[in-house]
Amino acid sequence: MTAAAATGAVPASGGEQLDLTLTVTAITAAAQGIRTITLANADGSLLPGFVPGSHLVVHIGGHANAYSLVSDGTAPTEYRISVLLVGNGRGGSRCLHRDVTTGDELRVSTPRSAFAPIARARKHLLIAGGIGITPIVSHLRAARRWGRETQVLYTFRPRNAAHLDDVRELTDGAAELFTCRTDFMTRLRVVLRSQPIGTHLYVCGPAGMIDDVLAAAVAVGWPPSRRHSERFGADVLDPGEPFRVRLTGTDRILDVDSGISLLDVLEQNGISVPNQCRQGVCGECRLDVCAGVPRHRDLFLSEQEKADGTAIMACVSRAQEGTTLEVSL
Amino acid sequence: MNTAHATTAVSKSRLVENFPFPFTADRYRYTTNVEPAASTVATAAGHWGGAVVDIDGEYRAELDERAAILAADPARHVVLPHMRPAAWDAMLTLMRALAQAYPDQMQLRSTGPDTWSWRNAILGIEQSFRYGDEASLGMEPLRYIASQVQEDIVLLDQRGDALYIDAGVVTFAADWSFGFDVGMSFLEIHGPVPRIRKEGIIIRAHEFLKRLQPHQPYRRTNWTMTIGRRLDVSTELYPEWGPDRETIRTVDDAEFGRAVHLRVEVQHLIRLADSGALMFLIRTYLLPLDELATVEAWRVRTAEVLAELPDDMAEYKGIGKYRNRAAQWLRDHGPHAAADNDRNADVPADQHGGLPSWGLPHWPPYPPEVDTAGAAYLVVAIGADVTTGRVARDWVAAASSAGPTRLLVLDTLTHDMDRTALTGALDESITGTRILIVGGQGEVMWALSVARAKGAIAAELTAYVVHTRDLLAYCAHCAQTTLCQAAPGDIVDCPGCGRRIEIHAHHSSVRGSFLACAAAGEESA
Amino acid sequence: MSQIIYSSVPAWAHPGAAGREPSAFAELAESDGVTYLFVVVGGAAADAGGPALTIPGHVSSRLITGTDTDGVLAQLCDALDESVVGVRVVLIGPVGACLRLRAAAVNAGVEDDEITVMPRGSGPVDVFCAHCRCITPAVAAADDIVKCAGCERNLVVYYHVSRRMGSYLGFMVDAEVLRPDTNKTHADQIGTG
Repeated sequence: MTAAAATGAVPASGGEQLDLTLTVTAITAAAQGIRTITLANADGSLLPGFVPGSHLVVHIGGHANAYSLVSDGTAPTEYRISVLLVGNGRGGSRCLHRDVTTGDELRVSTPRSAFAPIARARKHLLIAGGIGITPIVSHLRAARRWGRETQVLYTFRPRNAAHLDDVRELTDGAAELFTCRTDFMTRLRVVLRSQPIGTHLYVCGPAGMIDDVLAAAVAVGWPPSRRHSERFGADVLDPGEPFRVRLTGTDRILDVDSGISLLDVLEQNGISVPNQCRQGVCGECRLDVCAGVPRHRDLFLSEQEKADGTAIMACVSRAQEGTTLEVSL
Repeated sequence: MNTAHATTAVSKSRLVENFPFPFTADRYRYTTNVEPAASTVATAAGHWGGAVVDIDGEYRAELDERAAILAADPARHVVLPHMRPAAWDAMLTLMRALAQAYPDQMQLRSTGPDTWSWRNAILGIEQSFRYGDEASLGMEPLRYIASQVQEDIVLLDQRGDALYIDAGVVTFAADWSFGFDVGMSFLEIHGPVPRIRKEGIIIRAHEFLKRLQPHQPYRRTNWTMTIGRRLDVSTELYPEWGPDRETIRTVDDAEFGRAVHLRVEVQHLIRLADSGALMFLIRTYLLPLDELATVEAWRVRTAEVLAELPDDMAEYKGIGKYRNRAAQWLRDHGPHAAADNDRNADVPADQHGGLPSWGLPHWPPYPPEVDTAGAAYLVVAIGADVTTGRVARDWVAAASSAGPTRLLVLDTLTHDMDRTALTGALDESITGTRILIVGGQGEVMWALSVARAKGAIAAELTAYVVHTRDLLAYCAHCAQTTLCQAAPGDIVDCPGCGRRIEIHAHHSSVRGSFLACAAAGEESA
Repeated sequence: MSQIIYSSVPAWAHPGAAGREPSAFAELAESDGVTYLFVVVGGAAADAGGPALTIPGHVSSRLITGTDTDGVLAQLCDALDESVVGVRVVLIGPVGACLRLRAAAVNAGVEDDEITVMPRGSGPVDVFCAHCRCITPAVAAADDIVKCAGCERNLVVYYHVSRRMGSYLGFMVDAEVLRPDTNKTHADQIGTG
């Protein structure tokens, strides 16, 4: 395992991923193009708990996709995920929309936390765009349980509002809802200027919306420590620029063209790399970088690790156009 | 002192059996030595590590001690306000772990949405509670569960790419102050530990911990030494236990072996499932050197580790003043003298010729029966004691009807002629010959060692001791063996080097001798 | 002492840090806050306050100043209560005062990346006694010895600083020195704990 080699005796992640086989107990239409799927143990027994903002990797039809859990993570007996049908996605969402029916069994990973609340925060300012509401819903459930203060701004396209009822109920109707992007940004700028010290900002939604929200926060002095974002949902990463990769173990050089991932190129050349979500979330496909400068596009490595440039998540991250990245393989 | 030892004596063997011996090599350095939890580790004396929480014979005693410490110093229990969800998560996680490890005594039942029923039959506890409702528990949850596990509990909050110690119940701290460290980051707390930052170890551990996911507990061990069976060696109580580090330099060897303990912490690292906090469980095991030395592989290895440990690490562990003596003590207190160590390293104690190889030899109260399956018999009677003659006659009578029997009567093995007669008789014995030896303790042990040296195995040897007035003393300084009228604890003159040597209650069945070292004050005089 | 660079003692509290001229103006100029709280303690107010008050024109600021750390600390807490996210806190004063002010700011929810510290001048640091929990203000640095105002033990000032309390850890310097009056027999001390 290359990741272990980089850090001595320390496994790079929390060890082997545990898989669960769960039964689909309910399917509801959360909104147009959005399906909420409920999963449980066949005997209804307790499932592993999870941190708000956790995702579940679902294995289906040869695909492995990560979806935010929208249910309560304390001693759960069921998991709920909301899946947006993505036309140009890699097919996982299509399978979950077309092929899965109540009573089916699905193989999922145990939930992984990547967008956890800050326990010490005085308040959570939760901003959601479209299907990005999903991790926010689980944040709201935990906030209600523990009496944490929240404020919610939720923007969506009129017919695509998932979990509206949940959000209204969990915020006692205080959530501010927007279907107009301009109104949302206007209100957001006001809200960002009036938060008490100790507030943390969470934003989840399409990449463009996240960029706008974060830029607005930076403009009124929100430091990095208070800004938390999770790119999620409909967006597919841009195809990226072509670069080359040199494998130090065999001295092979491979081309990574635009539109194909480093992980795909390695696999096409018969080099297997442990992987799971293929979305830069789970951390499984981490490779050691010996030379070259990675362009990180994952959500897994810490800011420090990204700055160090000694590791790369092969599924999403790349290198500058025309440069060569050396990885220990 | 004597009372304390008497009351714990019963459980001592279990302390050895389940002791998490930490050294995997003869040299110790800090490493990020984490491994997946809950896999059993076999040791030279038993095993450990089957469960995340471990209940042993000290359960009630240690829980009582924790309660007393918390009553005297409430600052050992801190839960910063934002850690309330983590404290509940920790409690439920520990209840589950207990129920899994001890299903007969511990049960956790879900009785409805957020309501639970907990049973700890060992302590006679039946408790219903609502998750998140302190009133239903009657107590802060971390403190509640800390009164039912022997582990110290520390909860770390993860924020801003760092981990902060923001809650815990720590009553058995090894030379640190939980009360002071609360609120500090993992990296800040480990600042004073030499080497680990410079060598990047703490950074790697930090990165690992930050990525740790729920449902995949890990563990590591850490160690130091403690004087006395003292669990609470916190900075808070340093004025109480600090003087021990000085007084230990002046005690005699027997007291040193009883007082100095190898202290091992088994630390479990668990990402709590719904709060996202990180839980450190710190379980402390203490084993005195004189018990540790009963496991030969541990004795030899610990001596090597202590002798080799760099000064800065020894100083940080607070053992700088006595680690060299501890190493020497261990080297001196093998089942036999130092010269035999190489040959016998890693051999469990009970394989030394069927006799216990440490402490005092155990002699049968009555003469053993003759094993009639022998191919031939050699009965050796040493000395003029009337009982010796009677036992030898009985053995010869019984053996004669089972096979060819030879009786060898000797005055004492201190005579060259008698030793020659014994080795000659052993040389002439055919394979399968049973050798039966009777006489005083010193002569019998000597004869047994000669027989073993000639290749006799345990099944072929039978011995009966008619008195224990004498023994063979092996001088650790000049390697001379002397038959003397003495008992362990006595001081005699070594004819080899002239030193006044004290005979220790440690004997080598291979040599047939007891270890003796310069009596207190002798070396420095 | 070299170990101090890895310790919980902030770099600005290391020996000699107060003597160095801080590059604070550069830091402030490129800083990203929209309002600033300048908190100045002690004699430092006179010398350090002057240049520090040359605040970049595009930010709004408020100055809290005084010679009494307790008074300044109370004012800081009040100010933070009224502040909103976007504020930066700049602490100027002796190391000991800055440690206490930082603790107050951190406890109020201010993050590390919102705090700038410029040590100026000299003054006491808080030393927390591990044994009696009393806090003794003393003009001291790491490795110095301070008499505890609570239990009167001589405490060594350890290079270990609590961000929550803003104090150095102190513990008995001579616990391992045997004194006739406390020199119990070994058997008394061992096995009874």
